[in-house]
Amino acid sequence: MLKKTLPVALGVVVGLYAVIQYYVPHHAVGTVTDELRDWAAILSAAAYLLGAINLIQVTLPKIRRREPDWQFKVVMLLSAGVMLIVGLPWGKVAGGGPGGQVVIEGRDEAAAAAGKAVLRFEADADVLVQAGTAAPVPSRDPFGRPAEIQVEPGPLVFKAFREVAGYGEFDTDAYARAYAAAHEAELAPVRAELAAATTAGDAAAITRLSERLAALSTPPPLAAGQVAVITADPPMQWGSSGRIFVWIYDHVFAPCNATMFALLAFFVASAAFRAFRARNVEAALLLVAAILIMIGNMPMGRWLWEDFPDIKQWILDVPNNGSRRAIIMGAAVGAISTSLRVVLGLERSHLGSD
Amino acid sequence: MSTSAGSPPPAPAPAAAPPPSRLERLQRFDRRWIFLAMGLAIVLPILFPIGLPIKAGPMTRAAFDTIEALQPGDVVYLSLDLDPASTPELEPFYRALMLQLKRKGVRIVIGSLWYASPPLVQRWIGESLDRPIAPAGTAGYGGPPDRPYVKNVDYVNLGFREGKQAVIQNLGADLRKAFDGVAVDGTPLDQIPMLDGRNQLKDFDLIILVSAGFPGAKEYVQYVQSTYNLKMVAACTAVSTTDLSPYMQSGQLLGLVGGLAASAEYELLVGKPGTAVDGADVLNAGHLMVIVAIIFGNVIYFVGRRRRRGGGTAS
Repeated sequence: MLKKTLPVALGVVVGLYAVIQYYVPHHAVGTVTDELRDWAAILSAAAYLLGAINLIQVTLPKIRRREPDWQFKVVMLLSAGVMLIVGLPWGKVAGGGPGGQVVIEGRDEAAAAAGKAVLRFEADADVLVQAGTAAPVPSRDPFGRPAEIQVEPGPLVFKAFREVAGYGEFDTDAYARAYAAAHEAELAPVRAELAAATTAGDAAAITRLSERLAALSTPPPLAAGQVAVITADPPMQWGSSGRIFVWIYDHVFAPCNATMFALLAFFVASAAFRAFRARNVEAALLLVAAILIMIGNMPMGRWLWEDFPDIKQWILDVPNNGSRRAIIMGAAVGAISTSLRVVLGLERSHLGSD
Repeated sequence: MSTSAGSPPPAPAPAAAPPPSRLERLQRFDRRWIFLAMGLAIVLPILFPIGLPIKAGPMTRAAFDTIEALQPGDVVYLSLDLDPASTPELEPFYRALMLQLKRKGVRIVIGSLWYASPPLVQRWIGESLDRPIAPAGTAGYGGPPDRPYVKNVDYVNLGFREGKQAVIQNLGADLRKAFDGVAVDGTPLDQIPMLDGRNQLKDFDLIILVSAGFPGAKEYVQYVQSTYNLKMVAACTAVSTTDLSPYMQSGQLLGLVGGLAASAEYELLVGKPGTAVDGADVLNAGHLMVIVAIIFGNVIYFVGRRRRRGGGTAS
């Protein structure tokens, strides 16, 4: 009952619903459909977990029995373990600082005369800094002096980040959060008053206190001639966007992945020599079409003969598209008939042989 | 070791096999020579570029024209479904596309369905959106300069979502729900002004798919294009071009940029030649090498067949 009948019944109900929902425009049906789609996405993600468990179940016994190439399986499991560990968001557990600080100090008379404020960045040489929406510049000039950028007076808008990925940013938002945290002692009583005013329904007090809260938690704007010294030290991050994960991705995964794909060029050339033979009319047609497509696809195809790209396009548009369309429609009809068999409970092979 | 008197006499040595003919030697051609030739065909054009002219094909031109018709302030959804293996073919298109969109002031929402893409996409965003691609004075570029885009103002990165076709369907129905209502940096989507009133794919002015396989452009077309009547343009690897070209012909895709050759065409249309144009010579030599291998293999095959039928021997 639980092994056969229940799964078949579930398949019938969900399958029929998936078809019927297309023809029922009621919002309740849409809600259920959205929910089912969420389940599908969750199941798809859960398959990775099952895959990992399956990988361990299949691989560990082979390592234990020292089967051929067992060493590679050890490397595979270790690599998977390392990526799992470095991909976890440790930073969220351990927390982290804002990545810098801002101090308004001194006065630049030249900037004041020009009606400008100044941002001075104190940071490592590998940090790029950005004022407003201008393009990022190095935090130090070629002589190692800190970058000074003149900006319009007003709210401080900046960003400092490292050239390499995997580090956090020290920007306007981080500064605002740090500023609000530093003024928590002043903010707390205002928040309490605001909560009381909200409970009492005092609209005037709510407006006044909200404005006061916003003023206390927002960094002051820069005036003309003021110099904001921004000390930035963007911290290393953990997790799937963290430095170690990204380093392994960039320096191990990406080259290996690209190498595997690049090897195709060599195997295609070898296979073209050994196997691509005009043994009969059909193979000869395929061979001629392949050569014409390749010539048409080469940038020099047009240089060889103006009409090569047009011939390629004709082959793609007419014979290829015609046959592709037939394959697509045939596969679709096949999928519909298989789905119908599943929905009607006639097809049970997906439930296993037990 | 000695042989006893009662043991049988040693068997006569087999007659020496005739040396293989030249044709047989060619038929057993060591494929490492082909690998070497292919290696040279790839390396030499990089060292000594020729720079033959490139002209855009109709599918690439259609993609360019569709994107060029966007207006400042329009918002496009860009799905980057790829991995490092496909970057030589697709990254040049992506960079040319970003320059084109930024020049026009089009805002961009980025998502991905491939687990291997997030670090790659993050780096691309840093290099092409957070920073200008072609600031004033860029060598070899005569078009208008672009500016850095501001995160969550000019562009939003939604990040990666597992679920393949289910996520595509969710995007078609409810973008916020598909990404749990937050961007990849944790900013609630409701706090991002450029997403006001944009709740599903049909609310975007164009859907651009940069796709290296499954799930990708084909699934977007099959699951949401017709259902929501979406305007879509796709870029794919060369091997996927034949898969997607029927959708171009049926009008479900408004443009298709297939492979490195088309990426080179796109770079020239945008006006900033890059790595795809540099790779055009490699593409020429590599394809020529495969064609020569096919012809060479068939010549040997036909000569051998004729001799076998005629009973002749090769010298």
